[in-house]
Amino acid sequence: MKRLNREWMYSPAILLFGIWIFVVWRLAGMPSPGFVGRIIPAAWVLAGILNGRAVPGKWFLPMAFSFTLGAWLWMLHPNAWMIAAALPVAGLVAWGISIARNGRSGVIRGILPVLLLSLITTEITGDEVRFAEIASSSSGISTERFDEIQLRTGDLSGEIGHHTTVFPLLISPGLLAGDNGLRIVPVLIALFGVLLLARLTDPRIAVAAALLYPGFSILGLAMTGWLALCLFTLGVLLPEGRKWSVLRFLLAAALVLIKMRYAGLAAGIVIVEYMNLPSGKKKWLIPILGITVCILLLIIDRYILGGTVFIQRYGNIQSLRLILVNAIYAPLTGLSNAGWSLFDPEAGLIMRAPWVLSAIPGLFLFRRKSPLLFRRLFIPSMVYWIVLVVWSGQVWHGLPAPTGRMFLPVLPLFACGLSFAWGERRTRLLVILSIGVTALVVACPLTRYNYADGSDSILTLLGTVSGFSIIRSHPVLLFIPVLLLLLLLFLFRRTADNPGILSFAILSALLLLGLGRSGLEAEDLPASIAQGTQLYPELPDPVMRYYWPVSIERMLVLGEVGQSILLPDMKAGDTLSLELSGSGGIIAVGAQHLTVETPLSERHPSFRFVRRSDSALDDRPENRVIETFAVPLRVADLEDGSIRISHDSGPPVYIDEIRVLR
Amino acid sequence: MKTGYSGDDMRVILYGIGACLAVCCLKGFSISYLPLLAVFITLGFSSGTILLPMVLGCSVIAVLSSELLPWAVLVSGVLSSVTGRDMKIRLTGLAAVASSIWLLPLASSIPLTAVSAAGVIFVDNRLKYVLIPGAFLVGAFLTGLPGPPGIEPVIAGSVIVNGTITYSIPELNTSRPAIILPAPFEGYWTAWLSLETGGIRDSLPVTAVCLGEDTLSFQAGTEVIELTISPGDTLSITLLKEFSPLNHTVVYASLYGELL
Repeated sequence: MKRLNREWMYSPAILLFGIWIFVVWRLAGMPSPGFVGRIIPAAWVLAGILNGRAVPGKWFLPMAFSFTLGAWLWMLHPNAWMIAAALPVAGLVAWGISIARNGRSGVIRGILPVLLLSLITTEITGDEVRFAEIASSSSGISTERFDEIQLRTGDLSGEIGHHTTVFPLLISPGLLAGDNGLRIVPVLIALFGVLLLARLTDPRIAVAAALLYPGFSILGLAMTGWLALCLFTLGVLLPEGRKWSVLRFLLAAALVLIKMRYAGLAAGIVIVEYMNLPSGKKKWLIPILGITVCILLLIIDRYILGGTVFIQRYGNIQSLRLILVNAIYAPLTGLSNAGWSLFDPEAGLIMRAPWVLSAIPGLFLFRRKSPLLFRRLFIPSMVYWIVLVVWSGQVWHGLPAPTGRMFLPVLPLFACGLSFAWGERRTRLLVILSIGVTALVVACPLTRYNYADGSDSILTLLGTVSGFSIIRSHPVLLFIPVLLLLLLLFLFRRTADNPGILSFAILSALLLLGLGRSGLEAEDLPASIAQGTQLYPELPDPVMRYYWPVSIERMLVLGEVGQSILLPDMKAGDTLSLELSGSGGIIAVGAQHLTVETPLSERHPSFRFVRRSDSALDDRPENRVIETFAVPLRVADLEDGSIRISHDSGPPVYIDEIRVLR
Repeated sequence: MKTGYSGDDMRVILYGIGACLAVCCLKGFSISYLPLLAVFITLGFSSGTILLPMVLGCSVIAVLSSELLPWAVLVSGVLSSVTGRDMKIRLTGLAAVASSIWLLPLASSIPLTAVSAAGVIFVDNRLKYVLIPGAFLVGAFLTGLPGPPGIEPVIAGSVIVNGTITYSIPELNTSRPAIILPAPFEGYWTAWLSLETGGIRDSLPVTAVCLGEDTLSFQAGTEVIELTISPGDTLSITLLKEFSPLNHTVVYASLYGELL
């Protein structure tokens, strides 16, 4: 009887905690009582209903107390309420992982509350809208919001977008329930994916992989990542044998049909199948045959059928040439992009999913225990990653959609690695950190997105900016984390300490301190310094900056009456180093005047390869070379220890960075 | 000689001293970092490796804001003293609280200190589970919750395009009670300030708008006022309501102006 009481006591306790969150939110007067202050308690009430006889774990009371203390202190900082709100969300993730011990039903129950929060806090934007529009037009299901296809960057025409119709058609039945039904099928796909992961690893690992980044990035959203994961995992789980190989080839083809981005994953699957074939005299003929067939198909499509089969952007031959451009003309950039895909604070895999650091040592054990399974996961994942980085170049993070979504296909591999490191105490810290990332994203939905402007939404929420990123840093800076990791791995190779934890801690500290920040980035200038100035381009959408020839950072414009930059704490004898571009505009720096006319840059020769034969660029601000102007300051330039920079006459002047040399 | 301390304990102390030194080297020394050092040392001697993540978290907060560090140490201490299963951990928690309260406002930190002390005393007693919720209720209804430590108001950013100015004004609430809108350094502007105020349960004035020597106060609701802004002017919007339970005081403000 006592045991029975003990088993059933957690459900009411969790329900009570849900009510307590609601009460505390109101008593403390925390912001957003009508939305965040309702959905988080509601998710806990749902968790209480779903909990059954499961025992959550020792973390429950400290988490509940932490939330209460967080609500107590929320007025200390404008963003503190979001941290307080993130604590019960972190608890929900931990609860999901805890109860997933109880088999398949536990997996679904563990996912649901956080899935619900993910769906409610994420607006339907970006590719989701596009998929909905294609789904509506292809299936003929009329909807209120998605009836008309809007032209977007990268589309071939107003009617032909750059997405294939396979995924939109698959999710189209949901539209029968109206606009909000768009995510019904994706939710089912995600749940199926988690069950497959549970089959591959362990229920708790599957739930952890789904609720932490990169799994959480698009959990339940109408994007292709979870479907690709399902097909890939399904292929891995199939038994060995020739007839199953046929099914694997079909799954690989299906991956390409969903999105050409998964071609690397599909290629990896095919490579593994080939490697598993028994040795024979004519085995070497097979890859040649395969490649020839692929080339023939593309040639037939392009020159005979007029590109009707692979007409979407990701499939046309011009787009395929980007691989050659990136591989031949800029191989070092490609290499640094591979590094950034791991370490970029905005969207790098390790920075958003620190648990991956624990999974890496686990992969060695995994390879020893299940070499064939390891090969089936490792090779396609690596080929996918390499193709992603080489093909997509600087846009491997797929912005401005939710960050992390590009890494979904590598999730099964790292989930397997995690399953071998799960029991270790040192894994816990990195998993807790990863839970923190998910929790912050739910509590502050804007942190789900990144805009490739060099800042990071989570670091910004925490009140800091890092100068270390793919957008702003010199690739040489990447050596620091890489060397750090290698050094720690070497130093701690024989001890129980986890180099992953240490390297992550040091890397985080460096990031928080703004590693690589050598000056004031124009787009980071606080309101106390920049007054009336506007950013160029006005919208943060990185698509507009993808192919800027000089720098893809946003710039600050000085071109109108009232626009100014007021730099405090300046002294006569200091030198201002301004990185500027312009077409003859004059700016005033204190009492001095500076004419800013910088030359137009030329199109990089590699673009001729993708049918951009003209070398001259339009006279636009982003096409002008950014030059450094050094201005020594005199006493006459200063007013109360500050220096004002403002527009004087002529066309606008664009500022990239300001440095003070003392 | 057997000291009774393991390599783990010493490692915690070394990690802690390293973290504190790193924080001091990178951010400059501040007296508010001392509690962190004290906590690490006591933590090591109490075999508190279980609390290491919490205190490492405090180190990160120290890097972000030295003002918030004592609060973070206080919270860690209270949590340790209430939830710690071992007396040594609970005492470490109390030591953390004791080392941080002298940097904090007395009225706000007393309830938490009392909770921490009671957490140490009520060993294995279920009563301790209601300590923090109970103290929260006392804090919310009697002593109030701690307000923002900084007194400097937030400055709103502005954008001027084609002779019109707009300010991006974050919402005002009890954690951000004042905002300043500096006028452009040149030009005279006619501006329209729109205020939407709510989340309160009485009809007392909620917001004050000051421009030069003129001050206007507003009750909850929607208001639009016309202003003329000259170079050197500073417009400020201030929340008049302080914290009271069940009130979610909030002000949404927007300003649009045209060059005269």
